Amino acid sequence: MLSFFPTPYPDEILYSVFARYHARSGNIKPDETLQELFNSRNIIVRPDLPYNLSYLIKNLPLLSQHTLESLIQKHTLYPMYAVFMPDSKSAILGYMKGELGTYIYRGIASSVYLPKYFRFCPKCLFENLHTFGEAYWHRLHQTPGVLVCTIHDVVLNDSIVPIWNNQWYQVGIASLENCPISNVTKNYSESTKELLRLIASDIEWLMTCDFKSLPSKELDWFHIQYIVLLIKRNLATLDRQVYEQGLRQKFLSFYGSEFLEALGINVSNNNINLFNIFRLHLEVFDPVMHLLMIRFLRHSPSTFFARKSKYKPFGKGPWLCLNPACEHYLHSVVTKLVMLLSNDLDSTYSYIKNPIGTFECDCGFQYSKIGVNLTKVDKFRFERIVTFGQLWEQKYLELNVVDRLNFQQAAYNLSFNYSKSPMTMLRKLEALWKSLNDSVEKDAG
Amino acid sequence: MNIENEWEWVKIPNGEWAAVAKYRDHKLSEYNTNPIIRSLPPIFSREKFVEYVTRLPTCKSSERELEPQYRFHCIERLSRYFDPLNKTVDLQQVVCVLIMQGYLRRNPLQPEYALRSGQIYQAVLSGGGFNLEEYVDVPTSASGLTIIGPSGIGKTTNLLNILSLYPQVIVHPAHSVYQIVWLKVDCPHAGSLKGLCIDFFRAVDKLLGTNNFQKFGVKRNSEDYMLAQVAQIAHTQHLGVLVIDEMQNLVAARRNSSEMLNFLVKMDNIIGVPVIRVGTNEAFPILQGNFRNARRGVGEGGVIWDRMENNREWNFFIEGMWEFQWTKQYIPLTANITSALYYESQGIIDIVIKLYKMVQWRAIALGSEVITVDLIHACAADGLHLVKPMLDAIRSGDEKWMMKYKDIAPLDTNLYRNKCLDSLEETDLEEVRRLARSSQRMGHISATLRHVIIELINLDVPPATAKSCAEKVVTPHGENADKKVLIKEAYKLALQCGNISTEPVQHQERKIKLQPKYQENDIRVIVENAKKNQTPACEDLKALGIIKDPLKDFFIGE
Ligand SMILES: [Zn+2]
Ligand SMILES: [Zn+2]
Repeated sequence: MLSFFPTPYPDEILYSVFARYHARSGNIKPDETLQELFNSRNIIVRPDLPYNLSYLIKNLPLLSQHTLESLIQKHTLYPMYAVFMPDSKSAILGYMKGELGTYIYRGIASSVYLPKYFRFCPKCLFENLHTFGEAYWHRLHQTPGVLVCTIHDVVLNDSIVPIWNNQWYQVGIASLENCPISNVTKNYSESTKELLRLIASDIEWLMTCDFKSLPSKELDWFHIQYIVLLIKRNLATLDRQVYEQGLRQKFLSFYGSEFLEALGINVSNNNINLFNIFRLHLEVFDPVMHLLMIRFLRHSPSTFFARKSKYKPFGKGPWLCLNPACEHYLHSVVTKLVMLLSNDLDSTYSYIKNPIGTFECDCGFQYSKIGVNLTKVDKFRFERIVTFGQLWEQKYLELNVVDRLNFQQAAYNLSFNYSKSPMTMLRKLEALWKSLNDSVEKDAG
Repeated sequence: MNIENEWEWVKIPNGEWAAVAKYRDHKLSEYNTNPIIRSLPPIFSREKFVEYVTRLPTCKSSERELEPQYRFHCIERLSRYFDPLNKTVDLQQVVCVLIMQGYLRRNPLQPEYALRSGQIYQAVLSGGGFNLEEYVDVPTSASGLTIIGPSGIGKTTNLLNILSLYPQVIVHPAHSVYQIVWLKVDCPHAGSLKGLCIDFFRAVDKLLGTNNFQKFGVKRNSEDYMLAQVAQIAHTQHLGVLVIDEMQNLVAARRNSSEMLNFLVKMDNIIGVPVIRVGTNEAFPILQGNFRNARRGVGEGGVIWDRMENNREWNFFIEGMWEFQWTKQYIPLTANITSALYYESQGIIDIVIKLYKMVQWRAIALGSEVITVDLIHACAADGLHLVKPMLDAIRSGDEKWMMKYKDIAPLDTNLYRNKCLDSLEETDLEEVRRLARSSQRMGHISATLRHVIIELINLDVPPATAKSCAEKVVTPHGENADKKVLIKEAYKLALQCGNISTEPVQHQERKIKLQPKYQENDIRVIVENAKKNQTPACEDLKALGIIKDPLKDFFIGE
């Protein structure tokens, strides 16, 4: 059990707290500290997402007020990823607690573009030295996408300490020695600076907002919000095709190449993964790209996360009644739409990829439809007739046996005839109704 | 008063109990920005301190009636007797200031704390523990204290009793750290710094369940490295005061004692942990520098802890002690006794308490049960012969001779007590045999009789009445009569005696005397059985003062 644990400073990255523990414990051998903190001598201490934390929590001095959640929430990069990560994939949280051993969610590992060196703000450094007697690595400064200090409006400097060398014990504590103030600070244009500030404060907002008020959304939620917003900007089609070429250009002119280069974002055509965030089946989570897209689509993170757009592949409704027998035939009167939501694992998000809707008019006629309305005549389209309704049934009951069989055959053909154009289908339906009427009159006559 | 009740305690795994920090505001504002000081007990007034620290043994007049063996145990309670002297109260105030002032510039909420922590780590990394001043330049507020005096006159006892008012370990939930308020280690015999460090690591490990000894105490580690680690641990765990006892061991050390002394000065001057050095007169030559050396205006304090003068305070002390007398006959204190005690002990408290114990043992063993001035002198002649030359030297006032007996050898009284116990057993054996003879005539208390007595006691019949009534009934009826009938009869008889009250039995305490023919052993059997049967008889007997709670009085366990 630990006899002490340094109290993390505001926005201190946990990695830095461990380094301070190392120094205060007097340990020289790093594995001694690893053993004490994590009960393992060969653990890798990740700067962004440290793991085995539940062992740490259990072994803090008695009655310590740190909780696993608060350490993860306030002192690791987890919140940044968590909001863009579906709950079902939050294995990463388990990983950080240490339940999954050394497993880490692949997606995170592959998409983290941590800075090469620990970054620092010279002004923060001096202030911390003054206020706390020592400097420390700020979490926000190591977060991908953050290139300026949001407090001092200063471009962050690189320290001489590599972030991925796993020599945190040598890294030690941020100090004047390992944080040289370079004479040549990067000079960005005013507009780039403005954007850097904007993205940095967006990231800060995400990292510090009350996590519970911002539950992680499922991937389809992001997909739908993006598609809906892109459609508004004429950058995507109703059937969710994104005009990548146009988007790249607009994205580039919105942010400017200086800014995108600074963040290391390649907008050229050969970066086929640029807009991966739109995908329904995502292997990687790129929080920075999410935030850039949100701003590009004229939102702030808070307004974006408050969005409630639903996927409406068939438009808004009311939809047409396609019953030639109905007085509302070809009028927009249908308000009852039932979408098929599959819970089948194999067809996750099939309600987006392959939407099926059943439309029911008050006249009792029900037709179903697969796929979005793309063309002007698409609204007349139906895939099959689910129910003819009472108007049809009445006529049908008046038929003689031979006519009934004929009708059944014709109706059957119609119901399973998908290849026809919408107008042909409609015409056949009209003809069927007409023939039914004729037969009844003939029989009656 | 019990200081322990004022804290909530938690047990550190593999370590000791820690008090949960409660933050109070002291009357002085400079102490109230530092959680490490705010968690300390308040600054006690002299009265409050005396009230807290005084430790009187329990002593009931009824205990004088106990058999000699038990009274030997009672007398042993005097070993833990603590009656603070005026200088104890003075020392407490010095120690209190020492601890609080030492923490003043080690405030974990102030930048100096982390700065010093980082600087000490640099010393650790380069193994520069002995040259701490080259690494650490943060000002401190600590000063040290040196206590010198002959052995056996209670330097350590007084200090430990003062420190016992502080929880040794305080846990700060909001800061995730254990604060070690005080730590005592003995100066190693060889005077080696490594030895001191190792003892320090072990002492911390024992408190906190850590493994510093294993990590840093490996023999091949350099002295410098270990010293730096000591400094780092003391700083990290907020050590309030470090007590180094037996400083005279340095005198005999082969190597130069100045290295150790220098390091201790660095502990308070550079790391900011106050150090109290305690040593016998023998250590005076090497420690005297600390009395003169007023550093940085704060000054290292020094206290000469000497024997008591034969004056009012002595009389007052003896008066207090005298109450704890377990001879059958209580002898009031006289001026002759007081001065006899002074003559024989020369004002050394450890000796006078031990002498007082010896006198009581002797009086009991002799069977006279009376303490006299002659007895005091006789006991001193027998029991104190080992320290006699030193005491004689003190009496004669011959300083050269005194220096020859640098220290009073720790006085072991066990031998003397055993001697008294042995002689006691001889006389006792006679008593036992005499009792055995008489009980043969009287007959043992039979199982039936015992049963009836217990039942009657359960019915609130006083034990003495119970016994006589039971005997009257059981004897004519014989052993094999129906017990229920016997009980009924006996109870009827007891009711006629009119001795039964529905009021709490305690009221009758004074009336009930042990009947001489009532054998002690048998009473204990009754109690034993009652205990086994979970009957309330035992409780009744206890209430009547006939028996004592065995855990409380019969075993003088700590
Ligand atoms: Zn800054
Ligand atoms: Zn209709």
